[in-house]
Amino acid sequence: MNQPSRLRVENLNVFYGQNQVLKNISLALPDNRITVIIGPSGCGKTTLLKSLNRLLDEQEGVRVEGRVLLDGQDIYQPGADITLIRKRMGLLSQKPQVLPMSIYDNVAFGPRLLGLRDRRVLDGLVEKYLRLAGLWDEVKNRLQEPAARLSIGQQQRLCLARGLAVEPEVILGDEPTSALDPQSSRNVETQLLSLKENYTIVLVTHILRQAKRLADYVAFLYFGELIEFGPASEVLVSPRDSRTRAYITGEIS
Amino acid sequence: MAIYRLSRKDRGPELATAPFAFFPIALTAVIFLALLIKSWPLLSLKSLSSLIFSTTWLPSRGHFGLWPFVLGTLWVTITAFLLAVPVSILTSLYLSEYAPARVRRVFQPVLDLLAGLPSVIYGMWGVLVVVPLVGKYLAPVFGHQSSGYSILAASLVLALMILPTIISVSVEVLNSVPLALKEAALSLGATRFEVIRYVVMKKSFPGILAACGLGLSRAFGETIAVLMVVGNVPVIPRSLFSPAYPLPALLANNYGEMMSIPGYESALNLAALLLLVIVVGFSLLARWYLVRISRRSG
Repeated sequence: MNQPSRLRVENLNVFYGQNQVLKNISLALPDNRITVIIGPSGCGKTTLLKSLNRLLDEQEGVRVEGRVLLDGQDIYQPGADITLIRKRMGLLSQKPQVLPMSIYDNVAFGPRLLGLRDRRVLDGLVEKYLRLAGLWDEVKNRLQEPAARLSIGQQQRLCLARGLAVEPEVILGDEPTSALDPQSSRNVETQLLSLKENYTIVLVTHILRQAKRLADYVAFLYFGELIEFGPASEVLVSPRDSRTRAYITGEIS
Repeated sequence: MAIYRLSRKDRGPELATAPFAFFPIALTAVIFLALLIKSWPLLSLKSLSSLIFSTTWLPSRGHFGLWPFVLGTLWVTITAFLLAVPVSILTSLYLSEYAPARVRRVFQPVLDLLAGLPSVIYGMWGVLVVVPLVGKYLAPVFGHQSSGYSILAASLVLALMILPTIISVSVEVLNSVPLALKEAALSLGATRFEVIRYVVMKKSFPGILAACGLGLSRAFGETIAVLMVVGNVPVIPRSLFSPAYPLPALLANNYGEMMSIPGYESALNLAALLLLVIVVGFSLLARWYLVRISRRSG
């Protein structure tokens, strides 16, 4: 594969206590493409995703071996600036997690952490990223309302806007449409497709049709192992491994 | 239940459960009424405000000024509350956000144990340790003379007693903040402390307030441990090193004795009524505030 890639996973092993959930994973996530991670539930998809921005650190009893390279720097090396690493990767979780504050403050949260205080600059950023997430027209007159009052679909797009406002290079999505209705799901999918021009996107999903709609590349995980990784047209259409084929045809789930 | 009528089958269970739900409310009303009726003889002679705000407590001469007791209650309870709340919040933050699982496993049972200790044990410990500590060491440092039996001693003991309750409930509240929400804030580049400050605390604020309210009501009503260390002198407190005489101590020490003095029983019932009103007042205040916050943050 000749795709340029700034985000690489090398020989990654993750243990929860005695239990090994990721086994020697190596893959290079292509820049400005959507890579979709598929696999049965409990196969380590989310763990792989969270290993990319060191969110695994927040869970007790987790041990990580191997390397995750961002621009050639191992994010797991001692002394790595975790908050900086996380800033470079936006996260969309399964259920939208709006912060307990107004719509405006949700989007401004990241920039404010960086020390930005100028109200006019913040106003501009909030509008820019809400537009980018396709939410601006729906909320422009109610920016000071608590974010929790938005519909679930709107909340997820707000989370997208909030994540984009820290100007990440990578967007990580952990089944970001699983809690949404079909219309909202399509909205989020449309946003993601238009964002890949400027961002590298890694998505976990258990919906094969979604993978087909969005993926440029597909990684298939099975019981913690990376079984197959390649362009979507190959993996989803003519998989090499029998287990991948079995998953795609619905024999295993 | 107004939208549809219960079927006949559901009617029975409703009738069987409803009276029990109303029982506590009815009980509170009955207590209130009983206290009111019992304090009526005195209330019919003197005005309520002259009884509450008068500072002279000389039952044998017919002076029943309750103000020293009201102030004693407020001083002891509020000081204890102010001592307990910061400690509780910091402890519960440590336990929920930083402590490794091992520490938490040890802490939880210890907290439950502390919450369940009989208050007389706290009182004994207060007499043995806290009273001398206040009398011999703390008071001189602040240039006061004190026997040690004081508001401060009572507040320290009381603070310790309400700590476990506030901590336990606060930890529950803090733990209920979803990991995914913290992860979302972390992913935006927040440090762990920033997550706690801007997200966890904000999300938990109503719950922690409720925990504090619980501690406060417990502190208002705590009797034995307080009366063992507070001195029980009906004076207007001048400093934390003054003795005081809170309402529960007054009731526990005197109810059932010296009832031959005219008006005395009535005065004690009025004191109980006052305590009830203060506690209910504070919890209504807390509730009103909670409702207000939850409206604001939708």
